[in-house]
Amino acid sequence: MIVVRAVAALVVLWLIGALALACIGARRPGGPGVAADFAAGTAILAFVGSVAVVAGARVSVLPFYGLAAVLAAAVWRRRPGLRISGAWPRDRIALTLLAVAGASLASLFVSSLGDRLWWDGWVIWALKARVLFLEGTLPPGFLDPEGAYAFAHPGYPLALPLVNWWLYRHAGAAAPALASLCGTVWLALLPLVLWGALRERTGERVAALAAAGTVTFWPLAVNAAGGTADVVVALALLGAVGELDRGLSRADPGAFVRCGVYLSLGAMAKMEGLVLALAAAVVGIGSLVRRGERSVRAVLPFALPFILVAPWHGFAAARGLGRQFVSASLAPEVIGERILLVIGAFGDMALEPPWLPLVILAGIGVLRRTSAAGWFVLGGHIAALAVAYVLTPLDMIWLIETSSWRLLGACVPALLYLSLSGVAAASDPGAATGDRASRSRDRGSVRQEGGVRAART
Amino acid sequence: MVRGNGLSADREARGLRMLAVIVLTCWCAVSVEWFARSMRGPAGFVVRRPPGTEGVVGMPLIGASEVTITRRLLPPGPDGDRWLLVLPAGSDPFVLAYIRYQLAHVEYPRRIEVRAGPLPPSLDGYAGIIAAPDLVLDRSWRPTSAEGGFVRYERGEP
Repeated sequence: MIVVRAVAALVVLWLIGALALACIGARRPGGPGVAADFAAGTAILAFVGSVAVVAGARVSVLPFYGLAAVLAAAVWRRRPGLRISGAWPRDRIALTLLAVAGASLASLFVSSLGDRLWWDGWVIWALKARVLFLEGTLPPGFLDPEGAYAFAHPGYPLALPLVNWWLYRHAGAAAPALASLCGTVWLALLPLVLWGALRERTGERVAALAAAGTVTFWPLAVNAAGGTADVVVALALLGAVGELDRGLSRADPGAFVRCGVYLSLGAMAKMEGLVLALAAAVVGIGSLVRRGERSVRAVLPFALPFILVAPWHGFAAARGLGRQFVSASLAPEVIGERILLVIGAFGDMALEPPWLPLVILAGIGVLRRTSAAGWFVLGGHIAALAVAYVLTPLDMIWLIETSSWRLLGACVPALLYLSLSGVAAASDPGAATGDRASRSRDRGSVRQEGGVRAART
Repeated sequence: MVRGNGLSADREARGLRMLAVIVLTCWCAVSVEWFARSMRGPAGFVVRRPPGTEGVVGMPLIGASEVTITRRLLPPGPDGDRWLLVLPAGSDPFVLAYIRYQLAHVEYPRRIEVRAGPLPPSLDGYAGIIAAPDLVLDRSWRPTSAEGGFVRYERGEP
């Protein structure tokens, strides 16, 4: 019963996001649309919830149901509807690969009911959700930077704890398994976005391979069910890069808005998300300015994450909750030594079997890129992670060993999207721009690829 | 000449696409194998929690039995009470941190401080103490229950 209530809570969260995006005319159908809806719902929940905590008020589900009602009325007046149209595979091999992805997800989903939360999942994120559930807010005793709960990094943004609180609140219990379950839901959104974004560009089989590989990629899967925020950053990165690409190719006027939504989700989930928002803002605004688009409306989506996280980070700074991520007192020779160590650690990792193919794919993708914007965002994000390792005040080796695999794992879906769409566009130049002729060509190639049997309708 | 260059570029693009598909297939196979192998492990499809480790949150289970025993020994009481758990001297700091974080999570809002022996100089402010058996408390603390080698002490004459 608890799981049914939690699933219903997730549906409501999706609905709030879908209604909000429909209201501003930025909704997109299909798998990527569902993920964007969920991201928007989470961003709204995180913003309103964070403001409530900052104000010392109790977080309640009622304002969100009120908001949903208002948005539903607005959508009903405009009648855009809330269509979800799925792009089902026509190719048997693609269908099999998607079945593998689905079965893997289902097994992880069932397994997470046994509480698969891992270290940071229960130490940081699920603990805050539990406190929110029991207290209705994060009380001063919990937020004391020198207090008994300082280990839970009270200054971290609240998107993930608030989503878990949302589930706990609807289920009526602070059951850790729900936080674990929620992680698998975030993971499930990744293949939805990848399949939707790649299917028309690369063909069904390649898109399905990417989707199956992403779901089963252990650094993503174990941390998703482990309840950490890395899978949320992975979704934010993939969604932002995909929508930025779509927006810059002028294929969809709502793409920049959804890009801003994904960036807001990332920024309100984890500090790495804020770095991602910064990288995307520099690249996105730079691209728009080069195209002569300097209106506030065009730039606003890139400012959205910073506007939404401002109350929380302002509050955290005023309370002294901020964590020192970089040390300014490192000697130049130490920095040089650390740079070599980081390069060595990343290099060793790149030669391991699960990572080496990704490095090769990235190389091919960069070589055949059609747009540099997405690569700059991903590269900026990874470069910022590397800088944080080099300048960390903590034990750098320990930090790399315990976090690099999950932080870099979060970059994998975006890397796959950029690499594969670049390769597809190189062999079919129209695919990158998303024009109709190239899409129909691509559909044709999908049918030819391995004797695809089109649906006999 | 132009036609020749175009064909060569086209061939190169197709070759790279083929290479990308092969690499992607290999990566997908490695991912699926890694996933299947991991899901067969002890923290795999079925999260196995040995008897005596109930009541902890998530994984790993490095100090789970101590957490479980402590929770069993804790009496129901006001949320504001502070308790002290004293583990044997020389306990692994990592396990100490694990137990402290676990108890902070599962017992919230009750505060349980965790340290390795010996006892701190002052025990003022604690509603009770749960201590490893080799630790001896003065007569102002009386043992009230024991389990798994740990003893619960509360204030008062024996």
